[in-house]
Amino acid sequence: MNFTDDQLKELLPLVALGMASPEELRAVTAALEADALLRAEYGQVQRALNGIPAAVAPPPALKARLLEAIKQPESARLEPRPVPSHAPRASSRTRDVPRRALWGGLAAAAVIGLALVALLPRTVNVGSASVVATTGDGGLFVGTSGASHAVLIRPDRSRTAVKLSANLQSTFTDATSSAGSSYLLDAANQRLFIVDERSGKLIDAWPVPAGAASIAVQGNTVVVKGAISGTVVVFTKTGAGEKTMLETRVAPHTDMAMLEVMDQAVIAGDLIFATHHVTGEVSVLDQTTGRELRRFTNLGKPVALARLKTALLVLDYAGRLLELNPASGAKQRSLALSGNPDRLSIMGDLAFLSDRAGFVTAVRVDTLEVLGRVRVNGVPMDISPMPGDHLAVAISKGGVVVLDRNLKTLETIN
Amino acid sequence: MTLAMPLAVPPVRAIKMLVMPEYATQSDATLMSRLEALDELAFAEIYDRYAGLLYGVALRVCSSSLKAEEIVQDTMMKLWRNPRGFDATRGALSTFLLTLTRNAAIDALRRERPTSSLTDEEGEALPIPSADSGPLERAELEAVSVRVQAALLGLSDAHRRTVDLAYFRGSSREEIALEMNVPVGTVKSRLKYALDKLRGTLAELAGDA
Repeated sequence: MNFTDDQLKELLPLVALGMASPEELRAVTAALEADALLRAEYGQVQRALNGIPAAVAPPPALKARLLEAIKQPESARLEPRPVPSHAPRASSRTRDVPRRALWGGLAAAAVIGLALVALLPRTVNVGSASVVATTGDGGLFVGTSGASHAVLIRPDRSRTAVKLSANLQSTFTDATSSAGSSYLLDAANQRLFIVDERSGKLIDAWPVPAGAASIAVQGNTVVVKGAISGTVVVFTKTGAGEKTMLETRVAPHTDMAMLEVMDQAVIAGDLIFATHHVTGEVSVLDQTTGRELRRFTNLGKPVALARLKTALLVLDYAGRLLELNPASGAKQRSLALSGNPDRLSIMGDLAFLSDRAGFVTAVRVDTLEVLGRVRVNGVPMDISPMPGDHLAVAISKGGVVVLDRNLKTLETIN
Repeated sequence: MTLAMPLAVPPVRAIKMLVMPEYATQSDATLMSRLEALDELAFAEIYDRYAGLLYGVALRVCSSSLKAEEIVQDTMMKLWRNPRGFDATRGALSTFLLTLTRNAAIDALRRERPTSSLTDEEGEALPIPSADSGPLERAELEAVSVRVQAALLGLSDAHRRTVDLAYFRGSSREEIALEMNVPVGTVKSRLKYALDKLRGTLAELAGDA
């Protein structure tokens, strides 16, 4: 088909947008080779298209990750091959080209630097603990910010160090355990590390949003709350190594120091409850669609929560434990607390709270009555219920302290 | 005594001033030459110049900060791994990076369009005159963006929607026609009209220079 000059000009935007058919592309290409004025006009079209997207500042961690990634062996150069990939092309829906797996890109592999797993000597110290989770066998999984490995502590207290490959110094914000796997959230590297508890091997590392503060796992669903990104990400495992992802924005992106990265998401049935302390809100999302269903407001600085049978407990960093109606968000009761508690964990009829000022508090759930408050030696960063009504407390520069339900110290694991 | 320390230890700002301008004032072509020689600072400078734009388009297409980050990361790593994939005789570096990013984002969005890859031979190269991308071009790119954004707001809803669907959704003419309930020919003419308007604002920009 022969095209008139006007038709060729009309095709220029389509060619630049990748919407032209192969026949149209061939015609325009031939015309451009022969016509300098048309080339100039095409250049103007491209210039105009370049102005359409508005610039948005990417998270600062992205640049740091890239600069580290290019130092890695995996980022070695390909053999030089000039490829016209920025040349216009025919509409790709007319071709049958296999789609590269979104999650399997070379760059992602280079940045994540997966599979560098090493079992270190079994005599591994836990000098400092940032996060702790109780594993399926009743042991503990401990992450220490700044360290390049996590530690699996068996019920007999033998230890296995799991080397984690990351580009930046780690900042671990949360850990949990489910179905034989331990999950460790690294906000600095924006990675979720998944470790097989039996073998002690790192089995996967997923990208997570900026300021990833909390992880919740239920079956094949993994939920991560991003405090900086203002989003809730729902991963659904669909097969071996495969997953889908839904990301829902519940608040604006807000830059903050890593120390301020605090929030929590929990899965309760088909719902997800997620705090966003910057806006003082709790969002309720549909687990399947990721869609936000409701939003509870005016909650101070909510940083943690727990879904009980008939209520939703929300921990306000300003020093309140709020009991909300889980359906309406109406405040039912409130308990004033000392200091700035930032962690909440439920164990039977008790709620345990920890405060970086050095305190662990036990509250009776049904009456919202404080049963006890104890000062631990160091800065408690995380808490996790253990079998036998025990509580593991991750202590910065103090290892893991195990308390009983009366807050009496039973054991210190260093 | 109080002067001894400042003299002995140059302030950080002074050190930066000695190093950074060398890269900040270089053209894209020079930076790409350095990139071929594995110059990490050149890579960092290119990132600083274009990451905001790339993240902006990926975020707009995917509506996911996580995916947008991954796509920008992927694009920049492609550039690092194969800097010769960019041919300055075929267009500006900004166009190259934006094309890679937009294609990848639309691919992620639609799950049916193959990602533009440095290893895929697709289409014929067009002999587009090179537009050098030095710091002036970056400043110009920002000016272009301001003008085009303003011009987009001046378009009718129908024209703006057509551009949005084509650029940010990667929709075909037929899909846009179906969605907007207009003939395919109208889609083509609306795109032509809209792009002419956008180009018109850039002609004014050239006139300012």
